[in-house]
Amino acid sequence: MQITGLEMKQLRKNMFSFSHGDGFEALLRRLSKKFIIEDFSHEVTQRVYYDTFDWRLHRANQVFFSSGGALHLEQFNGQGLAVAAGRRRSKFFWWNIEEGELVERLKENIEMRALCPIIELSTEATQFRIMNKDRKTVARLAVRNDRLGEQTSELPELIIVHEIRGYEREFDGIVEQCLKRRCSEVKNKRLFDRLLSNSDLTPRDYGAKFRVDLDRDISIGGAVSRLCLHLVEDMQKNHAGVIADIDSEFLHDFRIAVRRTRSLLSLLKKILPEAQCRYFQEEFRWLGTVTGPLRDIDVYLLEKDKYLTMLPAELQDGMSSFFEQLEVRRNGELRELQSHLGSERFGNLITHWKGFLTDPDSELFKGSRAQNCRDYVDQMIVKRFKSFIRDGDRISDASADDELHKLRIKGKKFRYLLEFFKSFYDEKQMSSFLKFMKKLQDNLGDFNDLSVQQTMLGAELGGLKAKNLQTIRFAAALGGLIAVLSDRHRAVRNEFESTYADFTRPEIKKLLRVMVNGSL
Amino acid sequence: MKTIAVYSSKGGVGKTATTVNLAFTASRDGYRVLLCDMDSQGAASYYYRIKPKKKFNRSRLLNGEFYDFIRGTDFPLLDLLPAHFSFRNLDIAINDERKEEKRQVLASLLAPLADQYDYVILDCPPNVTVLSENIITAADCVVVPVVPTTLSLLALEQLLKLCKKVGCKKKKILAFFSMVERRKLMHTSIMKKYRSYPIFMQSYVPFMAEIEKMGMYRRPVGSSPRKSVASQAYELLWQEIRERRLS
Repeated sequence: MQITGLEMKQLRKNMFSFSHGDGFEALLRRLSKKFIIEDFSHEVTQRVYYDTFDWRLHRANQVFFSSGGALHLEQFNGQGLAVAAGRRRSKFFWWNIEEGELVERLKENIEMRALCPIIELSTEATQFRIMNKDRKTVARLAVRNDRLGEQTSELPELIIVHEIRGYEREFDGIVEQCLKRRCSEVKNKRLFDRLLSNSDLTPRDYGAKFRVDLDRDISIGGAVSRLCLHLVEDMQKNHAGVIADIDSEFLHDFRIAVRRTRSLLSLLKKILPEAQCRYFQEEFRWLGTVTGPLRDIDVYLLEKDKYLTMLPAELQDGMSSFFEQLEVRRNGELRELQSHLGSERFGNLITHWKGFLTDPDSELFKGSRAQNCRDYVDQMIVKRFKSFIRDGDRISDASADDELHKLRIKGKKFRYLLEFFKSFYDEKQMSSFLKFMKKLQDNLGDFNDLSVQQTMLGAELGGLKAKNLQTIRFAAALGGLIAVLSDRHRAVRNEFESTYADFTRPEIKKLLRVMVNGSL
Repeated sequence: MKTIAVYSSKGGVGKTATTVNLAFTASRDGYRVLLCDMDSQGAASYYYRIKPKKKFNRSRLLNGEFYDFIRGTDFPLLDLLPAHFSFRNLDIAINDERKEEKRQVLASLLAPLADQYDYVILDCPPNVTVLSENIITAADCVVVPVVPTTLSLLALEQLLKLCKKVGCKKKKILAFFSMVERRKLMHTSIMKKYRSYPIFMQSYVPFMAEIEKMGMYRRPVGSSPRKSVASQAYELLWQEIRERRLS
């Protein structure tokens, strides 16, 4: 005898909500004619749900909440993934939670981002046993009332019928009674979905990916307005997070929006009204400059573990004081940045900029800016690509590092150009081209990062005075790091030639030519 | 999935009370447990207030069509396959199987449950038949309640012989003293003599009115909110079984 492939039936859980007030009591009265009903638990519980600002857990179909001294990670369907001890906090980083499966699962998705409270839920639930004449439980019934945050109105009362294995008939009978009593069946059984739809939150309303869909016949001024309004919104969305110093990525995303804005101004400076363009370029350069020092420190702190693993164990201790000093320096830089972002200059910039982008009488929509954007962008892409290739072809083994840095900046500008206007082009072709472009840029980016890091560590080393053993240890650690970084720097430089050759293959040029209908 | 059989050829040694309480303790520890009531008297089913569905019988069990007849108990993670009156002839029906498959019938029936449960716990009838051979073959561990009396020890000896006959390792068998009455000299002297034997566990279950009253209240001793001596005894027994044979 061989029996295989057993699939036991999934136990059912049906949910209902009554449209009239005494619906549940009437249901209980009806059921009590056939069953013995006993309420066995009455609980009031509190939950706080968290996610990152860019909804990283929601994007991974996961839910994280604190409740009753424990932290839970679940899938959307309520299936538990991991639990750890912990109480509610104003924010959580994964390193604030005790080591274990929860941390492992969280850090995979949220990385360096903080989990912040998004929903506070208070639930009052009563559970009933539905028993046969032997007092055997044949089904369970629960009635729950959920209240969100400070809201005074509750979510619709929910009645949940749980099936018990082997008592299908009884379950069907109870469900039938519910349906007979004019109550509507709740099809979406995911609690978190219900909570979100009853809150004023819009899941995934912010993400770091840039996408603005432009009409094919949009004018240059119209396109600049749409793109830059999107970017300034990103700056404003991240502004509060930077000021409150919630996590490092608010500033990172803020700076990306500034950099993209500067790039667009620079790309179109020949066609934009000269005086205004110069003013805004100047002001956004200022914004880029004042946000730089804090971000530089954040990069080091985020890479702390990576730096330490580059060093042999005996040199690692020497670096600890360096990171401690960085933390202190960070506090100073944060205060400085907070004052810049709260300044009149910043306020004026945003007001003037938004006025320039939205005022119908703005110079932005006049003159040559009224011409078709797509035609102009086609030409610009061809021109920029040719110029990039011209510079790239000139680079040889003998070229100075500076040549590569210049190429990186040119490449970045070109990639931004493609990203701004990608909605004009075939999506598949564009993302394929951007993928090739990214490979080359990653190489150039790594090369630049390694140069900057070596310079910064070198400057740190140059400023040391050997006054005690601690300083000597630090100097040794810095020396060790510079040596490792220098090796990597060389290796990345050596990879440039093949990466560049890969990018300039005829089929990639052809891909771009097909996209822009141009000659390359 | 591990299969645990609670077995003794002697009646009245506390097999059903042990099965009912071990199954409850295991499920409360967070394991998915199926209690199979193999004894046609259906005492374990009675304790859990579960009656078999009308269409259930021995043939359905032996044809492997019993999954739809498993019923949930009142406790999370604990399901029960109720006994049926027709189980009294289970051994005769198994005897009709082909000779080479005769001892594997139960093991084959339980195998497909492996993904559904962590433990299957069998409450066995008190006899020595081909069903007993099946139970010993299917089980990863045979738990034997032994009242500290001569007849109960004889039943254990008989089981060891049966084990040898069916070619099972003696290591599968774990005995414990059940219904122990400390005031009885025979109980204390038998326990003193045999407790150090490797086959015996250190945990034992005293004779207690609370266990006897399970028939009245129809629920495992550990299910009341108050922690009792009896429920602690079964918890210790479960822990020792897990440590010695199931880890």
